[in-house]
Amino acid sequence: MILLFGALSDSAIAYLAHRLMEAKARFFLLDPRQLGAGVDLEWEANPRSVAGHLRHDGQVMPLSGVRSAYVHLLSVPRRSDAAGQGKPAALSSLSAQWLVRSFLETTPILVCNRPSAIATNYSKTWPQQVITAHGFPVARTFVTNVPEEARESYETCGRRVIYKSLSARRSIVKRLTKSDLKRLPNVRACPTQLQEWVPGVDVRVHVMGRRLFPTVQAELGQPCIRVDADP
Amino acid sequence: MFGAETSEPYSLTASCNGWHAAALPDGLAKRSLDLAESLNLPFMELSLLLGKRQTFILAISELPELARCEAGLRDRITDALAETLLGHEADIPLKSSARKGRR
Repeated sequence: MILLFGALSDSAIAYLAHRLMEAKARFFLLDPRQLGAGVDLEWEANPRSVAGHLRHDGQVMPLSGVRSAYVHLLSVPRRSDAAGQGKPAALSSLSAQWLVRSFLETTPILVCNRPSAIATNYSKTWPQQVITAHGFPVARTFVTNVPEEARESYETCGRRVIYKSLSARRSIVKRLTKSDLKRLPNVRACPTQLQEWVPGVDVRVHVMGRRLFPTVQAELGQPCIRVDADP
Repeated sequence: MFGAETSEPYSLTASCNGWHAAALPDGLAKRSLDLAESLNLPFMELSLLLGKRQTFILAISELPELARCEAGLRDRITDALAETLLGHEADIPLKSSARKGRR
C-alpha cells in the first residue's frame, strides 16, 4: 500500500495517482482537508515498524501494510478555508499539517520527501550556500531591506538584476528595470533578494532517486536538445 | 552578498513552449546526483543556468513542475517516482532509519 498525502487538484498528485492506477498499484490518497471529517490517522512508530490505522468511511486500514508515502502539502488550504458549514468539523489546516508532518517524520517507511529534508527549501538563501559548498557557482545574490544597498547591487551587476521574495512563498521572478527604481524604498518593509541576471539557457533537472531527467524549454518540434556546456 | 561573478552574455532561449527532454554532460549529471543525495532529497528539481562559461544552480525545489513538461517526459518522470514508491528501485539515497545499511 502506498499513501499519497495531498489534494487531487494538485497536478503532481493527480499524475502520480493516474500512473499508479494504470499500474494497478494499491494506494490511498489522503487529502489533509479530510482529517477529522471522516478520516482519522492514528499511529505509533518505532525504529523498525509503524503500527496504527487509518479510518475512512467506517473502514479501518492498518498502517502495517504501508510501504511508502509521497507527500505534497502545498495545496492544503489555509485555516479559514477549512471551515465547513454544517459538515463534520475538519481539523484546521495547521493541525492537519502538523499531524501529517509528524507522521511522515517518524514513520520508518520510505517517504518521498520527508518534511525535515524539504525544510531547507523554506529558505531561499540557505540552499544557495549549500550549492556553493558543493562546488557549483551561484549568481551573485544580495539580500537587503536598505534601498541604497539594493540600488548599489543593481549598479554592481551592470544593471542586470532580477528580484524575488525572500520568504518561502513562491514569487514571480522579475527583471529589475530602470522604471522600478522609484519603488526601491518599498524594500524597507519587505526584505528582498536581488540576484544578478545571468544570460543563458535555463535547464530544469528532475532528480528521481538515481535517475535524472534534464529538461529545457524548447520550441515545439525540437523535443531533444543536447546540452554541451562545460560544467 | 554571496555568489560568483558571471560570464559574459550568452544567447537567450527565445520563443519557448514547454519543457522537453535534454541531456547533460556526465560530470554535471553526477554532481547533480551527489548534491541531491547530500541534501537527502532524492526527489527534487534543480534549476540550472547554463551560461557560456559556467553552469549556475539557481534554486532547488522538492517538487517537479510536471504540468509544464511535455506529456511523454511527464509520464517517464512520474513512472520513475511510482516505481520508487512501489519498491522497484532499491538503491535510492535515503537516509531514513529503514534504509540505513542498504546502500
